[in-house]
Parts: sequence; structure tokens; C-alpha cells
Amino acid sequence: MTPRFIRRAREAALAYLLILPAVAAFGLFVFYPLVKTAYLGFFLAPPTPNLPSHYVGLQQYQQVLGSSDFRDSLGRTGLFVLLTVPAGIVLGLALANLAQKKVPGIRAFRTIYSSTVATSVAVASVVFFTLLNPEVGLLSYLFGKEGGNGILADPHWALPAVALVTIWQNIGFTFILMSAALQSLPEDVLEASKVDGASSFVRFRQITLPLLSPILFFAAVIGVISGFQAFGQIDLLTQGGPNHATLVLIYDLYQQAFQFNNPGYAAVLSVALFFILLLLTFAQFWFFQRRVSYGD
Amino acid sequence: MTENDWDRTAGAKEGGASLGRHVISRRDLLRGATAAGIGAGLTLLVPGAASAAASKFPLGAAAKAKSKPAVITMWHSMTSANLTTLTNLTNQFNSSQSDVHVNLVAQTSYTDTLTAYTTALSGGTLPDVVQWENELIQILIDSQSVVPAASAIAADHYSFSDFVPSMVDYFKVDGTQWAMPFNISSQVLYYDQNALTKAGLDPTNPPANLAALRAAAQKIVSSGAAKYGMSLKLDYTNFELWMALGGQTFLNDNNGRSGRATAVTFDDSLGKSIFDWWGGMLKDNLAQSTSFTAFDNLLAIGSGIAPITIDTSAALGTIISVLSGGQYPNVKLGVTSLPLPTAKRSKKGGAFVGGAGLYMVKKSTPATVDASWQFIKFLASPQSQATWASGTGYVPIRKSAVNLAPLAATWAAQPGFKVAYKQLLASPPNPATAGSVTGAAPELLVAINNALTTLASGGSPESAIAQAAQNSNTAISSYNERV
Repeated sequence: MTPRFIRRAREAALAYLLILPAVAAFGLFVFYPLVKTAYLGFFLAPPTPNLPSHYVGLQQYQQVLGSSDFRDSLGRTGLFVLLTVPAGIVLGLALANLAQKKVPGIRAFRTIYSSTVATSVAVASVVFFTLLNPEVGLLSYLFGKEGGNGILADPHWALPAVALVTIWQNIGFTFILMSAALQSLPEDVLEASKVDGASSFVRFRQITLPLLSPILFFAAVIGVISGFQAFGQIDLLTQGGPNHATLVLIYDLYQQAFQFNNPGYAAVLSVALFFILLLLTFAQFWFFQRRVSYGD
Repeated sequence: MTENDWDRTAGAKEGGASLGRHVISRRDLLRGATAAGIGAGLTLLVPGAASAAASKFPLGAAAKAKSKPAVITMWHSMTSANLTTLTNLTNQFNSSQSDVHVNLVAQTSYTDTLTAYTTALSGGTLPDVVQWENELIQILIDSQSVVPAASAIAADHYSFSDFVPSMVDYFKVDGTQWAMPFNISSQVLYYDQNALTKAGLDPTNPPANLAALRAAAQKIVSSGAAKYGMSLKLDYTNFELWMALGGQTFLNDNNGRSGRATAVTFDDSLGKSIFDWWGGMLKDNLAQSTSFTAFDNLLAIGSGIAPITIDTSAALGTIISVLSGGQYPNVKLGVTSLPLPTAKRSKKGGAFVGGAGLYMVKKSTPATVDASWQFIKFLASPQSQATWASGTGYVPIRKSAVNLAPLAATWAAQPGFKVAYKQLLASPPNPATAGSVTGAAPELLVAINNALTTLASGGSPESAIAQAAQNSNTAISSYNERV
């Protein structure tokens, strides 16, 4: 027991003590529910919670995860993420780039573009619900779909419509993210490239983008995770319809848990969602590992 | 311990008793007694069974209680005019006697009641009386948390002779009367008489069956009276009602009433013909499809897009007040009973009831259970029903209520209110007209509505009904597994 060891042990003990409240909070509100949810998946939920549940082990997991319903809702969720995340990032970046121009009144544009971050999902969904109304909605007339049942009742266009609402909502967040990143770019590198005669397009592609890669990577990871968890807009616009066209994984989970009173089924979906997101995040880390450059 | 053990005729054994022809030995008596003792002990272990098995209903406990009044809560889902009428009735009850005081708690919608109740079942406070939507009846039965109305009815020698039979029968499952009806409605055909006249049809003789309805829609469209003949709300209830009107069950095991239903029966020839009709109307642009949650179909009558639709009789009060506001001056409202699914009337066919019933929740204090029954009886009395039906547009559950004020006056002024009542009164009592019962009702709603949605986007009726049947059967068997 050298004095150095004792000192380091004491430092470690202090460190653990200081982390303890945060770990306790995480344990109580994140880890424990996670484990409990996985455990719930081993039981067939009774019709109402006061009755005993039947233990079925992995059978429920196999049944749910092997069903075509699960595959379909997973596919829809994937499609939804593909529609919303790249578009959100690209539009946010494009607008942020434009808003960097030093012209008078540009601050007004910056406020407008970032304003969607201040709207709640519920408010945005209600506004878009009216805009997409077949009788009086402006967007219905714009897309030539006035009268009839409207875009949200059309099985082919319901998911793109919900994606549109989501992209609109996400633009504010990605705009702010990209603006901050663009403003933190080192001026000297850009100046040097201008002097060397690089066109603005080449400058953007060869210098700006690689320098922005950490932020793009961050936006992609956050975007995918929140895309998989998008709920509010679906609940207010289409309620999973028409004919399951917008039934993404989270909404299926919600329906099973609260409309069909089947928390066992919902627990399986919840665990599946967790592992899918974990996998996707690891995949993104692995993919971007070589491509993301963090400074010099 | 079976009856066979008692049924021994093999001569008297040492000191046995004799019960007529059957001679029971002392050993048998001892065996019987221990078995009964064990049986009684086991029932005490099953929660709730003790009170059901051992009790009579605690009739009169509220009046005899030491602390008065017995305060009870009722969870309901009534809003606007219905809420006002219910509140007035409750205040009337509270001030008319001192044994029971009722507090109303509004849950806004039937789904909110379901959510709140199931949450309360896992450790919250349950109400004493709950207004529970009809389709969800099996879930409440399976929760084992309510006292069947049958026990109160038996103890109180309560008579149903004045009740409309179909309204009572809905709440009878597997031989037990589980609840008392309260707010009952039915689907009816709403139409604009002026539009029918314009199309060359007789407004006093609206279509009586699906074929006539299609022909009327054709005339309306071709004459230019409106863009569509009718609005078809994406509502599975209409499909189920047409099956019942055709005298067919929706689920097996007598619509789930003689035993737990295990599969659907609606994919028979009648069901297919209804789907064919539905798909044909939409494909040929004779009808427009409207959403399940909105009232676009009623608005379409007002705006002249589609002058006919099917919707709940409970909306009639609101429709009348909207029309009397003068926004739609060209509309002359007509209300009639649902068109039959076939040209020939089925003798067994009839409509089942919509709406909700009142259930007594199991409580440990006899006074509150009795108090719940007293309040439910009050709400089911002829005078209360006359007031209730008059103020809301729901149909009265008591036949004698139709002659009482204020209902008699309301019906004289607005004969449209009588349509749903007459439709339900004419329903012959049988499993088909009693309505279907299954715990998977929420999933069936989604499955059938989805199938109807495919019709709206041009899908074939055969695949739609097959899809509905398959998804419904999966949902029913997975629910039954969980019980």
C-alpha cells in the first residue's frame, strides 16, 4: 500500500462519489425501465393490469419479431428516416450557407429559418393538418389534390406528407447546427483557397464539407434517432393510417400498449427499437470513422 | 366433489342419512364436508370470487349505513349538451334523497375512460360506477373488477318488462346480465329531402335496401343534383349493422355470447355482398369515402356534395341545431331507418345498440355498491330516461318513457328522434341482433376500417374482406391467449 496508491484510490473514490447521483438517476429512469421492459416482453400481457400474466419466455419475442407486421412497420420507419434525415440536413446546410452572406437584413432570414425549432410538434402538426385539408388546405390545391379524401387519406402520399411536415420541423434545428458550424470554420483556409483560384463550388466541396464533417455526422446520428422516434406528427395527422401507411414502429408500439392494452407486445417492439438504434449508431460511427476529420 | 358422489344408492352404510332414494353414508358426508370446506377456502383465495360466491347483493346497505350519505363517483364520457343533461339528472338525484351522493367525473371520451380505468386497475382509485362503451364490454368482464348487474337485479326483484328487449340483451353475455343500459343510440340514414326531389326521387320514400340506395345514388349523380349520391363513412359499425340486419352473426359462438368467440363469421356470402356493394359504390363514384373520426359526411349534406349518409342517431340533436342556424337554407333534413342489406327483409334481422352501459365496480364497502345500484336504477327510471332522451337525442330504454314529458313534446316537434327507437324496438332478440362481443374489439375496429380503406383506394372487395377476416382472426386468437 504505497502512499501513491492510497492517494489514487482516494481520488477514485471521490470520483465515484461525485458520479453517483447521476448514475443513480440514470439507473432509476433509464437502465431499470430498460431491463424491466425487456422482462415484460417475456410475459403475455393480461387484458387488464390487475390480472396475472402468463410467462412465455422468448416465444413472444419470436412471434412478434418474426411477424410480417413487424417487418412492414420497420420498413416504413426506414423509408420515413430516408425521406426526412438527408433532406433535413441538406436543406439546413443550404439555407445556412446562404444565410452566411453578409448582406443587410440577413439576420431576419436567420431568425425565420431557425424559427421552426421553437414550434412544438403538436402545433406544427395541427397547422399542417389544416394546410393539407382536402376542402380548404392551401397545400392540397398546390399539389392538385383538392376535393376527394385529401393527401393524408391517400395510401401512397400519406407517408411523404408526414415526412414533409417532419422535414419542415427539422430545418430549424439543422439550420442552427450548420450555421454555428459554418461560423466556426477557420477563415484562413477558406481565404487561401480563394487566393488559389478555387471556384465557390470547389471550395465548398473540397474544403467546407470535410471541415463540416463532424457536425454532419452528429446531425445524421441525431436525425436518425429522432426519425425513428417520430410520434406526434403521426398521431395528429394520420393516426397510423390510411391502412397502416404511416404505421411506424413507435406508433405500432403506442397502439399496442394503449389502444389494444397489450404491454407485452409493446415491450418487445421497444426492445427491438433500442437494438436497431444501437446498431445503426454503431454503423454510422464505423462508416464515418475514416471520413470525419476532427481538425488537424 | 361431483354430484355422482352423492348419488349413491348402494344401501345404507354405518349410520348414513337418507335423502329420498339416495342413501348417503356418514363417510360420504364427511368427504362432502371436507370438500366443501376446501372449496370454500379456495374461493377465498381467488380475489373477488368470495364476494360473488358467498354474497347476496348488499341491497339497502346505503340506507342502513351509519355514515350518510354514501359518496360515490361515476366516470362518464359525456360532453356539451349530454353533459349538461347528465349533471342536471345527477343533481336531481342528489337533492331528492340523503342516502347517496354522486360525484360525476368527466373522462371526455370512451377511450380516455378505458385508459384511466386500466391505469387505476394497476393500483389507482377506481370509480364506483363507470359508463363503459358497448364494444369494449368483454374487456371489462375479463378484468374481473365489476359486480354483474344480475346480482342486484335478482336481489331487488327488478323487472325488465318495461324495457326495450334489444337494449337489455346487449349487456347479457354467457347468461349473465352484466350492466344496465344507459345512453343508447343507433345508426340511421340521414338525407336531404330537397336533393332527392331535385333528382326525381320521392323524398317521403327513401331507399329501403342497398340496391335501392345504389339506384338512388345513380339518379342523384346523373341528374346533377349533387356530385355524389352519398357519403360512406369509413366506419366498421355500418358493416356490422348490415350483417345484423341480415340476420347473420359477426363472430362465432353466437357472436361471442354463448362462449368466448374464436373466429369471425362475417366473411360469408352476406358479408361479401356488402363489401361488393361498398366497393362498387366507391369505384363507380356513386359515393365518396369520408373519415372515421371527422363529421365530413354530415357536412357534405349541408354543403350539397353528397345528400345521403349514415351516422349515429346521437348526432341528430347537433345536426338540427346546426341546420336551424340558417347556414344551410336549402337543406330539408330527413331521417329514416337503415336500408336493409338484402331486398327481402330477414325475419331474424335487426339492429344492435350503440352507446354505453353503466357498470358497478367491485368495492369492499357494501354501502357504496348499493349506492351505485340506487343511482343506476334512478337513471334507468322512465322519468329520468324521458328527460335524458329529450335533452340528448339518445333513445329511451323504457317504453313508458315515450309518453312522458319532456320526451313526448320533443318527439312531437322532431319526429326524426323516433327513428332509432323504432328501429331498435323492432329488433327480434337473437344472437345476431344482440351484437358481437370480443375482447379484441379495438383490434377488429382497426382491421375492418383498414379493409374498408383499401376499398376507398380502389382495392378489390374480395381481398379486402379476406384481409379483414384474417387480421381479425389473428387479433382474436392473440387476445384469447392472453386471458
